[in-house]
Amino acid sequence: MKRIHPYLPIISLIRIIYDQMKMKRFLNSKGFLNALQLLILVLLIASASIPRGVLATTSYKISISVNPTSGRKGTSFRVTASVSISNMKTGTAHVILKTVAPDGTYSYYASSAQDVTPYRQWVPSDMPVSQTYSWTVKADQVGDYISIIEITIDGDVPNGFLKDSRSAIFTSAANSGDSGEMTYYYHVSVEEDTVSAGNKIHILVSTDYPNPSFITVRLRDSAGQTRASWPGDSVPSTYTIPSSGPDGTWIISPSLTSRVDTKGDSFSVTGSKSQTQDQSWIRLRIGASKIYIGQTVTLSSKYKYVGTEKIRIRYLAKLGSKRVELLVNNPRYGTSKEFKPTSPGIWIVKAYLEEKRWSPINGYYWSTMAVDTKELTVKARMKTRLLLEFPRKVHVGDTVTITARLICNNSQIPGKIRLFVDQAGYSLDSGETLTIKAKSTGTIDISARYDGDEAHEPSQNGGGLIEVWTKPRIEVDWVKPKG
Amino acid sequence: MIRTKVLISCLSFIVLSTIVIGVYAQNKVYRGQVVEIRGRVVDELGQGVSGVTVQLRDGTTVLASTTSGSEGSFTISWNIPTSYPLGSKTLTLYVPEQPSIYVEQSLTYVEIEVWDGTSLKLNSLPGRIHRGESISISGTLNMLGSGNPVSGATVVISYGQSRLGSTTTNNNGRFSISFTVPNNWKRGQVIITAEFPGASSIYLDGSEDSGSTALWVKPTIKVESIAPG
Repeated sequence: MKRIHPYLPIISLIRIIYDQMKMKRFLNSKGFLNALQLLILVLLIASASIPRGVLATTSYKISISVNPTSGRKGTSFRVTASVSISNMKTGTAHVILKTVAPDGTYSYYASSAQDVTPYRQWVPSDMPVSQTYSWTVKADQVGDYISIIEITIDGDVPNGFLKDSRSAIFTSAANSGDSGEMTYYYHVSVEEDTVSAGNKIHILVSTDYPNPSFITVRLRDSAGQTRASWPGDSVPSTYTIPSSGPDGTWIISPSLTSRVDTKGDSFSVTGSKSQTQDQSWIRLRIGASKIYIGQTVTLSSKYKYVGTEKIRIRYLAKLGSKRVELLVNNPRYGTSKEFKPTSPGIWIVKAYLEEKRWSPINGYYWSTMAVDTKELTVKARMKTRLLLEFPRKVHVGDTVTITARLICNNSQIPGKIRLFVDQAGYSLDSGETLTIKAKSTGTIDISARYDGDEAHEPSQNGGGLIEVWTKPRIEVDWVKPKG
Repeated sequence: MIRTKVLISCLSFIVLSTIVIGVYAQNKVYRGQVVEIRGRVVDELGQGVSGVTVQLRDGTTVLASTTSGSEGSFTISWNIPTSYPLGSKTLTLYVPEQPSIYVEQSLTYVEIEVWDGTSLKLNSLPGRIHRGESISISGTLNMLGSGNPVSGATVVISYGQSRLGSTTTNNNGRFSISFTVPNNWKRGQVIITAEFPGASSIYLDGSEDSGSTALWVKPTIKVESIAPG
């Protein structure tokens, strides 16, 4: 198809205008204004259609897909990733291909700079590059497998360095009978079903979790108050229930931890010396005294109503101008309500035991018979940052130190960090340094992840590549005539 | 006692010197010859590095190039030009920086001595010579590789074990010598040899040529008596 030069209509228009301008009075004519408007329009269109080849820089395209995208544990899924790069005039480029299993380990890892064709970084003479890679992963864990293609262009890109990635997810579901996506278990139980106040309970911990100190075990009384808490690796084998009780169901439970199947236990406490009064009362129980934003807490209550009227329980949670009201219209069938705070802070939670009354003036109304107040601290999970300190360029034989720091509010905080060095994963404490030796030329891919805890949000650091160079030595065996 | 120590020190020095000289012995090569240099590119841990470009350079001029193979081994072949200057030369084995495989530039040196062979050609001798006759012998001395004439070289002329004389080549490599055929030479075939013994100072190997002639005699008939029978 013949292409019209974009400036041709402009030239024609200018000629028309010029011809018309010869006519006196043309400047005031409607035709001139129309032509001028048309000229501006054509200029805009032409400027948009003029090729911008002079601004050309490296162009690339990466894509990734998995098939199938979900399946049962044990399913094999195929990952296909493609990369195309063109017009790179200087510098180097490579891609990293990986599939990360639900537990964060690499199920597949390869770098075009070393493991797959072309076994080195692409350079301008390789342009254009078009490669497709495929690999198969068998889902032996439950959860999300994330396959990633990550491109790094060092040189002919704006700011001189570019890192981009695409990902695709395969979801592996548990087979019937599997314990979901849990990898480890931490179970705590109490031998006794019932114990008299003042007596001991015997606590048993059963776990295969390698870091039980990350888990907190809490013993809560029937009022929901925490009576004791221990790190998961320091739970005592016995605990004496205070003689004051209170009576009721006590709960011992470990904190929730990702990928750990946690189970607690309950037991009944009887015979405590707590006094009861012959009047209506209500005792508010909050599932936890401190929670983090996003968590739900159960409000429940014990009450005694002395009367014959219809009653209800009203929970009122207040934080500043925020008010949340939850009604239990028939407490005889249960008093629990779920409360999910929307803001961090110290919420004042009240439980009202109310009786329905009637008066000639007001008609029916609810009268408070008893009230109990407790505080609920809602903490915001703090944002964290992972800092990785490592050299960008080393030589073969060098000792490479990689330090990972977990930062919160501009300060280093303790925490377990998972550091990945190529395919290998290491567990480091925040601030700890990993030392490795650069064994051969190529790249070492560094990344790290912090899974977060109740108080801290997870964070990760894509790290980057350590380039391992060599300044080779040339050894001469001999110099001699050929043949 | 002191003498013994001094003697041991001197002996040690001589032995060590010999070893060092052995390590750095220069490699004698010839113009027009294909020379092979074999070696290995290794990293800081002594591991061979493959895929590395290795160049043989004379200054900044690349004479030959190759790529290291498995275990970093390489062989560079260089066809020494016939016009390459004679003498001792320090060449460079050079690895340029290769970012795609994370290799920095590196170099090492190779000492060579470039020699050339010679070709001595004796011009034809006269078909016959006679005792007492003055004879001129001439020829040319050229380099084998380049074909260039060798000037200022001493050429020795011999007949058997007898040295007849020596002469020096001119700028065109030509030489000429005259001598008088001694009276004690025997009649018959005479083989004249011209030899250039070589010169290490100018990195030239020796060569020789010979020519054949024949010593004739022109007998004198002496009449001793004329007498009646």
